[in-house]
Amino acid sequence: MAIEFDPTSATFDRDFYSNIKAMRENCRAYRHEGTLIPAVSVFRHADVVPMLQDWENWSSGRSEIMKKRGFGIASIMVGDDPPDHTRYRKLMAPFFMPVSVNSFDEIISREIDVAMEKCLNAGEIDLVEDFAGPIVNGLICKICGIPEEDREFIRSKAMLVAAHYGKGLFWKEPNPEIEAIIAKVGWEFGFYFIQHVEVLKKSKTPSILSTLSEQLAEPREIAAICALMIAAGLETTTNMIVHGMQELIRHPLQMAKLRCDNGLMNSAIEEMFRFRGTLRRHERVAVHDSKIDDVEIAAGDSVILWNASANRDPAVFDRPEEFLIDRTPNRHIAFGSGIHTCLGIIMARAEMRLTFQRLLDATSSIEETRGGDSYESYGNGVMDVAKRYSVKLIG
Amino acid sequence: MIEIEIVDSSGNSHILSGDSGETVRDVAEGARIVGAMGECGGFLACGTCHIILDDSWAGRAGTANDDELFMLNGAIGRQPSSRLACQMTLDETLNGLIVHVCTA
Repeated sequence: MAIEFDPTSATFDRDFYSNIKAMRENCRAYRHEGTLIPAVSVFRHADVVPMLQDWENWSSGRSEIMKKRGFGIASIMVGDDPPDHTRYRKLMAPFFMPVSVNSFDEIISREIDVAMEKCLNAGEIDLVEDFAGPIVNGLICKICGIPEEDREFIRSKAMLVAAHYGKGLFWKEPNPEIEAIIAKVGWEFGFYFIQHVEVLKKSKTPSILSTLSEQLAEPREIAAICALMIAAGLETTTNMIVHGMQELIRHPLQMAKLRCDNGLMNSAIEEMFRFRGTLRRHERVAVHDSKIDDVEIAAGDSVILWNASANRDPAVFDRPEEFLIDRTPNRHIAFGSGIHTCLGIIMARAEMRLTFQRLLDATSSIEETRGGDSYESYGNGVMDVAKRYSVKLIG
Repeated sequence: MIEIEIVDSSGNSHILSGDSGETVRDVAEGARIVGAMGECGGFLACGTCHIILDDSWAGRAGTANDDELFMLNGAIGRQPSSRLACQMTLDETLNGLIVHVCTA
């Protein structure tokens, strides 16, 4: 019987890890039949990592494809190969290196203070909307000089994108409704950021965006870089906090272990990234014709590299389906690999470390409030996006 | 084979060997030495394989180029003898090299 692997199916998100396990065990590569964009999925660590690293043969230059699917504005840098990629990355990198991120700790802690005050001993809360979202959004907005009154606009638009992001590659028919939603967000972000940067410049407000804009010639580039920062930095870490907590609650022994031994915090966070990384796949475009086992890949085909599958590959990880907070070594690829390795690694780790430290310090217990209905997902599938997580934080 | 010593973040010393042309990061990756493997796999994209030359090797192990210095500028705990393990390619002149994983 032919294996079917359809990331657009209604049950794909719910059964994601069993789907991906079956694919990894049964084939190295899978040709998606009938998709508008020719696409091949790859599952094993030994294939995914070298392909992520080999930008000359597996290109990220997919801006044209992304534009057709309404994602053009956010595909700058991540949708480019060198030398364009290198130029943008060098502009952005200094803001996300350890020395710079160290200065974010105070901002993150302040956002956590506000969220804790609202959520601790407050009965049922939504960990997505009341806690994780505001913390991560607060940091991004602060470093981008975005005023408090605009935070809701930023978060709501970013969520719209996250709910649908990445599925276009698997469509078998055009989906004008979703394309219109995403394109509209792109235009709204573009319009907002071009104006916002002008305001920052006029008021001489120091922020990452005003500094970046001085080095970018075109308004399109400024808007795209801003949109990328929001897209890459907001929903990824928000969902990581939510899903990290969900795994701790699902694994009470691991939660107890972490509460007893603060020294395990860093390895616990790495395990959260491995086990539930938000971005489940990366995309590349084949530069040459090639073949993986009996699957032929033509130049121009899209290749979907399932890092979430690689992160549970038993060839690399012992007991890969278990959530073990003291796992070491833990060479996961939740942040990708190669020249496109996530620029926000250090920032994401700082947000996770400070948030989980505070959550565990301030609570005696964290519990789901609606049993099996406590968690609701957007059902995206190719990205792990939570809609709601009903819990209570008990001091 | 070229022999090098990597002192990990706990102060444990690892005597390792690599081939000419491999990087210190490649050797660290083989031995799974946390802090010297880096995140990006050796592409000068993350700055997370920050090592510090042992005093006995300061000034004797080549110099960082502009791209490496760019990344080191953002590193915490940078010292005059800081390097990125992914940018140190082994050759005979580095036989006996001693480096320390940056613990800052």
